Amino acid sequence: MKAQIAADARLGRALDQAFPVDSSAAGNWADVLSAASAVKRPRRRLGTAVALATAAVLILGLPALAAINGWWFFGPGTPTATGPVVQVASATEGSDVWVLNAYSSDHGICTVLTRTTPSPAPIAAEGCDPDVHARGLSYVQTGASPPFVFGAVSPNVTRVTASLTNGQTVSVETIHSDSFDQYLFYVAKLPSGTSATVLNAFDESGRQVAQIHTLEQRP
Amino acid sequence: MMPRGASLTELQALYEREYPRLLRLAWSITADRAAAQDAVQDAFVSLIRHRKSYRGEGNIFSWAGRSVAREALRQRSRASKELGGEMPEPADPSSQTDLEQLSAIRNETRRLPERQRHVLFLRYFGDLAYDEIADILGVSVGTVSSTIHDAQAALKPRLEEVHTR
Repeated sequence: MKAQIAADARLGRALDQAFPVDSSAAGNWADVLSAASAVKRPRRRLGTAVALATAAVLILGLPALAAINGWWFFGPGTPTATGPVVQVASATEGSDVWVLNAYSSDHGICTVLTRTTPSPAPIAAEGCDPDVHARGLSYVQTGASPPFVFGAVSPNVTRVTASLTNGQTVSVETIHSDSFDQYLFYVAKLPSGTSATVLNAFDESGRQVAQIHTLEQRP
Repeated sequence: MMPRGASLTELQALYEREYPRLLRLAWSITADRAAAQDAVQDAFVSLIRHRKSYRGEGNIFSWAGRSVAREALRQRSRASKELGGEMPEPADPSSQTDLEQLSAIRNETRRLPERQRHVLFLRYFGDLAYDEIADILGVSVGTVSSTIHDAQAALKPRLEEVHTR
């Protein structure tokens, strides 16, 4: 109890002066928001037969990634692919090159964004979600600058919008891949320093079919 | 009593206003600036995700301080560095205290056993109560009380010097 504490003001003052605050230090709130909206990668549990209804996220620096079977995202403890890894989209904007891959796994549909931009740093992010059809869309959000949000959606979704922390909204069309009948995909590059707080999915008639608040705590 | 919860706006304001103090708290425990920055970030990620559980009791800085302290101790457990080599040096002492004295206090504090240092920093940099410190460190309130007493006793000669100048 605070009331019980007779704080030694002299000691507090001395320590405060001996270890001064670095008043020029400043954090990056956008990074915090991005990290808060990312979802932890599910851990595998032996004997667990129930699929985890949670998206998995992995964001790593490419130099640290070990390619297994030719893909950086396979290794011990990672989802096991139940189908081929397919490139569903790629883009080059100047020196900014990114590729979106997808594959079916024992953790549901997995989407993987690999960006090879040399500056400020290459990034790679992966998310797997066994429950896309129930929720309407999955998402992975990267904290790198510029940030990306991407994922898989139900086949009736034609457009995904992302409401951002700066008040703007980004809208992207979904991407079809011949290899996946049950899913479409999306990827949106966001302005630096922002993150998506709400994702909305719309069908062809403009009807909203799914919504996810990225900052809500998942069960 | 139902938790009143904390809004994102409140958390952002807290983060931006108190970042330097929370970084110092984390840094004093991790002894590494980058680890301290990670601890503050991870703490706020957790606070955002659990913001609805904020009860609105006590000051919000302490609420954040508890989370930062836990993350800093987690970071600390992954490393084994000596305390505070990189922490900012005293630069603007008050009229009562000169740099030499502050350096002495700093060095004396560094020589304290780790638990004493952590308890001191949690108490004075985190503005945490004894029971909160006990909860974070997994010890009894009595242990916190006696640890602070021991630390104060160890630093007392230096503090006397500061006080009497």
